[in-house]
Amino acid sequence: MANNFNLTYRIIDKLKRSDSNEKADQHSRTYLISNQNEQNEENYILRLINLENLTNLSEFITDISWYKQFNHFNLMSLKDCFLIDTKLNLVKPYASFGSCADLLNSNPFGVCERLIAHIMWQTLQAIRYLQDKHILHRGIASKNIYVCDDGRVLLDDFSHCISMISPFDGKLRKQIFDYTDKLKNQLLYLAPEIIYQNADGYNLKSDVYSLGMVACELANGSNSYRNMTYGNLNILYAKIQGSEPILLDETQLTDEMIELCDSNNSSYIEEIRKRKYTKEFHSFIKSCVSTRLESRCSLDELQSHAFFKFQKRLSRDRNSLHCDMVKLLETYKKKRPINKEINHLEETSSNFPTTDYNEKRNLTWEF
Amino acid sequence: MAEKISYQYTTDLPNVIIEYPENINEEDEDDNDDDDEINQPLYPSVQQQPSILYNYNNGHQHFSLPVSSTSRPAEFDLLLGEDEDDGEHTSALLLNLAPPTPVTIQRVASEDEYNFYSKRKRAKFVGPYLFGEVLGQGSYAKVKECLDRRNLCRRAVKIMQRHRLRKTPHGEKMAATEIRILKKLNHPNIVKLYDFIRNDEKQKLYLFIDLCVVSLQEMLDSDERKKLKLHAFPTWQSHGYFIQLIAGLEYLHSKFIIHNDIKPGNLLITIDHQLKITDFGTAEQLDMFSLDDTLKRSQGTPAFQCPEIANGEDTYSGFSIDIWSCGVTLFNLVTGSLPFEADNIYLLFQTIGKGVYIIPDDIEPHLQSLLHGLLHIDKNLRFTIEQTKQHDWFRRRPPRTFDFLPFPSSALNRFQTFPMYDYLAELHQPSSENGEDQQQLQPPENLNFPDGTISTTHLSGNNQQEQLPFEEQRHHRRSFRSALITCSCSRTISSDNIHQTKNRNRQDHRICSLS
Amino acid sequence: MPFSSLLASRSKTDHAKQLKEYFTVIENEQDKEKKNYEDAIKNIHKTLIALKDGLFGPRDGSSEPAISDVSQLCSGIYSQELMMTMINNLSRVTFEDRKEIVAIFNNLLRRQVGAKYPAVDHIMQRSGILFKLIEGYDNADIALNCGMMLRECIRVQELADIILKSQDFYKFFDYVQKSTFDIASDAFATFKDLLTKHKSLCADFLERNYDLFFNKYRDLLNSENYVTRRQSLKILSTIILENANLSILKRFSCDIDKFTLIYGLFPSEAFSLNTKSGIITNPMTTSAFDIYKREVFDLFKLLGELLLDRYNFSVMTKYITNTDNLKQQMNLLKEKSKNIQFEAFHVFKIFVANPTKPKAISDILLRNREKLIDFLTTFHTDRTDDEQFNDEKAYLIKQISELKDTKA
Repeated sequence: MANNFNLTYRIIDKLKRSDSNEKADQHSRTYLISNQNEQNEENYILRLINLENLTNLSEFITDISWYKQFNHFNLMSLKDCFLIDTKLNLVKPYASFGSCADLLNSNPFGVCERLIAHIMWQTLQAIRYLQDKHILHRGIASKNIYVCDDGRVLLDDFSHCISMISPFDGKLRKQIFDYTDKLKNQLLYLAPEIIYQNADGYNLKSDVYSLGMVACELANGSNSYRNMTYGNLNILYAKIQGSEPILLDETQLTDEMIELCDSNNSSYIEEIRKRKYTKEFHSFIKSCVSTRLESRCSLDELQSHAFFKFQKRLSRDRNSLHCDMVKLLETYKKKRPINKEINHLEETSSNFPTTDYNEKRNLTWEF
Repeated sequence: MAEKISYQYTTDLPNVIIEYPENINEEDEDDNDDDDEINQPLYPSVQQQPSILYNYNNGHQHFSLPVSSTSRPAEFDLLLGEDEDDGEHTSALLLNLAPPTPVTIQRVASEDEYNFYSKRKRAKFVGPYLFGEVLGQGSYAKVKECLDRRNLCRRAVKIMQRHRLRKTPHGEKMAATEIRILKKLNHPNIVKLYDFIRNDEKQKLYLFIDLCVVSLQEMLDSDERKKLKLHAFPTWQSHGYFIQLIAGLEYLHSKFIIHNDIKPGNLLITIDHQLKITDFGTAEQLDMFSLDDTLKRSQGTPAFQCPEIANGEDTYSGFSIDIWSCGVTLFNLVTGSLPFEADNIYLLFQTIGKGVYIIPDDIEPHLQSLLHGLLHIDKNLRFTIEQTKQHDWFRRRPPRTFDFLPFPSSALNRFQTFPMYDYLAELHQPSSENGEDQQQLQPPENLNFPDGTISTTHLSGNNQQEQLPFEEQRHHRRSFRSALITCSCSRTISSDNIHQTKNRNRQDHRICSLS
Repeated sequence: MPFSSLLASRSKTDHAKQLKEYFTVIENEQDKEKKNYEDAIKNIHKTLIALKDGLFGPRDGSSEPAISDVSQLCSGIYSQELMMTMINNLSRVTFEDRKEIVAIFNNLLRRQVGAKYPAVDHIMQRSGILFKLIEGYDNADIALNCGMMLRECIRVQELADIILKSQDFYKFFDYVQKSTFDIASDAFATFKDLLTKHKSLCADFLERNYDLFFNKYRDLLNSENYVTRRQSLKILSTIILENANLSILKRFSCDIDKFTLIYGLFPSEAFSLNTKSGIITNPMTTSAFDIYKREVFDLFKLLGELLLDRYNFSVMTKYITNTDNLKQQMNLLKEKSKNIQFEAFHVFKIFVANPTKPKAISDILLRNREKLIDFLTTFHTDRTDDEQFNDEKAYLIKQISELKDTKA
């Protein structure tokens, strides 16, 4: 239990999130740890969060509490959760390939279609599970989908989750309108109807869009809306215009694109020229990222999409499904830890930069 | 940019909305990059320079709640002081990308359900906000829609002009009060001030607040109500709004604030039917050291004022003033009429002073008793907020009936189409005539300038304001790829586009329309 | 849904009856090995989903379920005493079914017929349901589910009243100290709701159970668990600084014993109190102090808010005329933690801004005039972005420098 965590867990390594930066590092750290109580000393991720730096503790606790409400093979779970001083320690399953964003970092031209199908299939199961609970995830993004050693895919980050059940009258809502500043990191993946903040609101179908965006990103190697000049406004403009991301393969390669390329990018063009995605994949993307709700598939329709026919055949036996994926994954590099030796949990917490203290003032009042 | 034009405002007019169409035009000249596009002809006037990038200068005051930013510890009220030039030469953080030349925009495939206007709109930034359509105009302020480019939140911006404030009685004081009070408040039923920008040179204040659909007054006045043959809001709908009003008011009162002007016109409704109390121009912040909530002065709307004011008493109890006007508001919502009406203000105050009113018979008994409690002539016997909350009608949600008073279609239209589209289009697809020059312009890149003292240079030929600390190589490769993908999104690539992309290294932002 | 279509032929009241039967099967522990136990579990799952769909209507929320169907369903649930049965068997059903039960339970509570909430009346007559839910915190498997249902109940003033009046309420003092982070924080959320949702109810409760409550509360503040300490301090400050609880605050602040407890948590005095009163029983590392600082910070934030809240005007005037309070604030101004300094500033400013400062107060200010001006000028100079703060600081400096020697 929480009290003997020092005996239970041993730190193996320090990990860096693909999206982390100096600033985030001040508030949280990630370590690879092993559980010594388990026979095979299984590996886990230890995420250390300094509560001192959190201004809104209750919001954070709500985010964490989502973990306990779900129990699904493809949803990230919280193995353990304990406190050392002011630092909250979250223990989660270790995904050796890191997130999909990590996967793309080491494979900048995208990953193969079969693997994408696997990842999508498992993520879809997770979203369907959430849908059953009337919950909209809203945080589906490449950085939140993790790939494990054994081919298991885990969907993480429930901080954007919102229930379709109204907190005001307890009824199931047809659509919701919530749009806050919090969503700004998620803009690349948000469905257009969320961003419009219109009278129609949005519903569970919006997660399908995000799923399609991730699939597209995995295939193309980068998000279609990344690095636009006007930043977010451009995303909005593109989405209003009805632009839908597509898969880049030889069928989509146009002369103009080739003309565009310079020495830096020629290898990418070559890569595109070489590959050809199946028509099922193309149609899958199309039915996911459609800007119009009517032509976008529902989660149930996606479940029976032809793109997943292989996964469906194997889905009866989870092992064979995973074996297949593990085989695919063999060609991809695992996420590399930083190799910094820290062995005890206490050290990790004491290594945190201490909070801002003034230099001691030698001042006395006269009363 | 001195104000040369003299206005024909009569300063002694009461605090009512005055519209001078001719003045709006004058103002256009005055401001050079006016805020009024209402009466604009199809194309913007030609007197504008083709490339309008105003000099950025220091002194541009920028305030935002989370990452706020002002260097000088000046009291805000200073800026409304009489001192006309406070020595600071400032100008708007404005960027007008709009070319004056008429170009028809490319229309989006018809399957997109957005309406577009043939009229060209000019894209204008103030800070990180892209400005849009005018939503409304008051005596001293104008409200426009805008879009926060950081998180794409749609907001409303209240633009106050100093010369207009001067012409409104207590105008400057009201503006100062409103800002001071709004800055402190944070409650779901109070309109939230997200950001606040002040432009000294143009003598304008920009208040960025929640974007709402319509006020309750407008809903009551709407054609929809007549069409549906409703005389007022159905009870369940009124109840929904009323409990939100009380929640907001309870919060205000606990913060020592008396609103003074609660009425349907000051209660805005968001798209998901949340009520927001707005307009704190006449609100009163009680002094921390005052012994009670006594006020000496109240400037609300006559029909919503309480008997003690109507009878001309010297002092009033602030909290019960608000309760009374809540009562009138509720009366108005459920019956569609006002409890006290008269032809002129003297007769009106006479009627109110007597405190005799008739509640229609078709109002259910619980609601009648609540109304009687709220509209009690004796302020000591009038309900308190706590009593209101404990009242039976308040606590028991009336069953939902099938009648429902919807938003007026004219207002709802803003939420069915995307009115900011035209401005976005203008930003992204400026006319080709101005092509090269225009292309180089970028909206202010640096969003978190600490104090507005952004020394943005003219982004002439080189627009490579590299902020990203990634390795160049990688970055270029990535952006190139996304350029490809972006282009491929739309399946058509104009050669013009490719040219641009090559030139600029960073990927081009244009997306051609479908078809 | 395939399940609901299977069951569609059955009448709506049957669901409740069926469910009741299945539950009786699994209630029989001896049957655990047998096949019909497993069958019952499966059937419960199907029926629960059918029930839930019946109550919520179609999955996409496109239409509301027909009122007649729902009222049939509900009357079935009430007549079969299903609410009680579901809660009793919460630990026996599967993880997923627990959540279905929560969804059904919470939906029932919100349901209004005419001017009545039938579920509320139902539970009021069977308050055992509430106590069973509270007990749920003992079982880690169902703790969070029970917490969700409890909080839904607490929204209703009548039900919150029942809980507050019962002895079971004091169980929360144990639950919030549980070592498991999530259960403890969930219990805290419920605990806080109970004490803050209905202001007049809570004020009344505290008034009547003042001693019992605050004696129990002392244990929380002395807890070995950091989260407990932090959270309980937070709730305490919320309660005593609540405007409806003015009299409690007065009593509390006069209660020297309890007040020292709170102030004992201030880092500056913690060491001296450590030995004297044994408040802090564990040897503490420096980082353990961080939590206290955080709490003191919260407390001060709230204290500041309280004093500036109009409902508490009399408390404020009393507070700011007391020299001890001023001394304390001035000492806090030079705290090590910037957060505490800052909060202390907001209380300190009231002393200075008071137009009718008692002589004792202005004497102290006068005696430290130079130091204060010096101190304030260099105080948090990095807070350039906070307009209001800088204005106030300037105002205070002006006020202090203009202080007249009243003796003259």
